[in-house]
Amino acid sequence: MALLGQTDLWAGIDVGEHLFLFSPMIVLVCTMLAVVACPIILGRGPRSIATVVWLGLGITLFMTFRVAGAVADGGVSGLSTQPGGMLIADNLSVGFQFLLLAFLAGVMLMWWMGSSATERNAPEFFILLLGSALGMVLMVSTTNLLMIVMAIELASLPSYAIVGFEKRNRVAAEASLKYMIFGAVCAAIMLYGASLLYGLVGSLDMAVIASYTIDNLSLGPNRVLLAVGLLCFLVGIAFKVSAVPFHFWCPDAFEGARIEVTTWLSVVSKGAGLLLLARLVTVFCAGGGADANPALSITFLTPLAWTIGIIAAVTCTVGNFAAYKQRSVKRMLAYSSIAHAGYMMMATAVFIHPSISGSTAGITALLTYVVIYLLMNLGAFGVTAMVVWDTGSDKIEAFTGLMRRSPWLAVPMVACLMSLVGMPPFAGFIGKWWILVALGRLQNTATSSGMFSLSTLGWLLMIVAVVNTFISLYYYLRIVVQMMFRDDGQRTVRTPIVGLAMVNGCAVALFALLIFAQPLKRTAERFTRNMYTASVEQDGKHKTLASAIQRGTP
Amino acid sequence: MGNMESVAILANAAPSGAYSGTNLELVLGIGLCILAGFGLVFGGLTMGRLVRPKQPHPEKAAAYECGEPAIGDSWVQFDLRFYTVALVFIVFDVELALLWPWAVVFKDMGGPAFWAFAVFFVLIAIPFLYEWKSGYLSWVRSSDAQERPSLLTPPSSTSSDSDSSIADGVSNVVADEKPAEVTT
Repeated sequence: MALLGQTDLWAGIDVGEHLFLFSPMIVLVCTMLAVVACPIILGRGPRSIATVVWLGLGITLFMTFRVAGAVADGGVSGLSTQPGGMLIADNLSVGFQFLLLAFLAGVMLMWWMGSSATERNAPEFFILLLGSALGMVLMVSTTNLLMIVMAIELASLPSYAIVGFEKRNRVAAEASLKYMIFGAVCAAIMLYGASLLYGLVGSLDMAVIASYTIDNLSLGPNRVLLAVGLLCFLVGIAFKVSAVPFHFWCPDAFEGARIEVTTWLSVVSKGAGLLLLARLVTVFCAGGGADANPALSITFLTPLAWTIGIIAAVTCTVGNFAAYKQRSVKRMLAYSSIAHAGYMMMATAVFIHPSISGSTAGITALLTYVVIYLLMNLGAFGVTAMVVWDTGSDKIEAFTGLMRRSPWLAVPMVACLMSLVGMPPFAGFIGKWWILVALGRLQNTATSSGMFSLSTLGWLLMIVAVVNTFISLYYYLRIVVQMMFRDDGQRTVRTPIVGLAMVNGCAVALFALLIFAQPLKRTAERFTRNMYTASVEQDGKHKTLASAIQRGTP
Repeated sequence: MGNMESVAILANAAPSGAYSGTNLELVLGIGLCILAGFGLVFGGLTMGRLVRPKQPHPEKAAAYECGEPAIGDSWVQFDLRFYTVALVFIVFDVELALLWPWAVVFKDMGGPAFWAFAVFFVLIAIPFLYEWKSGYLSWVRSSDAQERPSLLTPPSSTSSDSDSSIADGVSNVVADEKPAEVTT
């Protein structure tokens, strides 16, 4: 390591420190290599390969813990000679890595129960799964234009393949092709936007682009080109999040893919996209530089806030209405995940700087919601998976009378569905509540600072979120009614004990998170504290506004 | 016009671009370019339709194959085995493309460059070995070749099952390769 530091290429960078900060990603790459090497050395047995993956994930978790300790006091950017850095290791990226690893373990459990017995291509499956995981980790760990594009592609390409993993399944093949064509078009538009931004600004660093945007979006001579560039760039992120004009791949891909893959895509892929968006929003909100007036900067960014807010509101509404007429539970959960992407995107429309409002309410609400959403979806998809494995059908009729047939499946399903609605005894309620609080804070702060356009946006999004919650109640309750109040005398669902433990664990955790909501929020606040960085210094350390943020409580 | 100017902006990476016109001019320019594009294509086609003599003949309707009579349809299934070429190309071309700049700076950087490339080489070599071992590089992959036990794994069901679908694909392709009927 010291050897590398002596050369010009790595001048000014402590290579050892930086390689350590990104060691979880390096371990993930090594795990992929080990999985590739497995067929050469160990053979293609699915369980032996899964063991290698478990081992790799364990080491990744260990390294993530160590990195979490190292970045606890503030973010560090690195692996570049440019001021902005190519990658960032900070609390948010580490927090997302924890979430991703936990979820990967859940998906691995589902694979172990459902597919490992008949799996023929285990090495390929895990290479694709880990490859998309690596891409998602990179998405959350960067503010560099080029790196964002590359990370989104790295997350997407394996996803296309893994959706169509069952080669003989026509539905899966169709879903995979749709997903790929849609993704390719969106990637092309995003690349076009990125090239426009780079052409205008002359820098790949998002902080520089942000300050250029603040100077030019409302008044500058190039504002049309700039707006087109930003909008095109947003398309790529909207595709990952499955925001509404770019959501068409989502139901088909979710229905065609194996259920563990669906679970994987529904949470982590969207979570990564949303946290990337959140990171960009914070960079833009702080984009005026250390000496700028944040309130003035945000006034210039109002069109951007409206764009994100409108997309979020439309996504939410379309997702909920489309979920109404679905007979397939997998498809219904797909539309539900679109709607939830809308709720979470609302939190990223909270364009307020902590030096104005004293809080990081939007990002904190987003992070807690992602955690809760992870548990809700893992539980709901887990129950659906076990019903599908046993009955071979994912239609809503397969759930008839589940409360009598398998109460240990039905009770967690009810808990997860009610949590998805946002009903009080479960954590989904508190997640939604915090998003509403963040929107209220946006409205409040904007009014008191005289930014009436943003204030209107806050009101609008609050109303849309509440109305949508009522709309969504119907289709979630339909499954609950089917499970509890109808019965056609089918037999008990045979379930693996590990699966029962997993879904019931999710339900208990959802209940517990409501009780321990404050620690969750405090952790999320700690993780988001360093995100509003005024500028990035030459030595790679972020300047933080931690003192301004600690002042208030959202 | 406006289009040329916008290109000039993109070429000039400085924040204060050379572009000095208004946004309306820019939008107008782009709009005119789009209109001109449509006009050229559809105008040409319409003119041709109005002016050209119309003397249909079956020979004219046939696909042009350098004067030879066409043999069958062009929508045939291509041989799946060409993916082997693509795989080999990816492995070695990427390696070569990255070896080139590495070789240029190797003299100056010395040891670190060697180790950096050694890491990269491992990243390329292990997947290559995987392809080789899995038989994706062999040109002839008949169905009975799939049944042949490999050297490193016992002849269990896993190794033959794993590639059976590909083997089926190849046998389908082979079946398609029967000489097509010559249409005259």
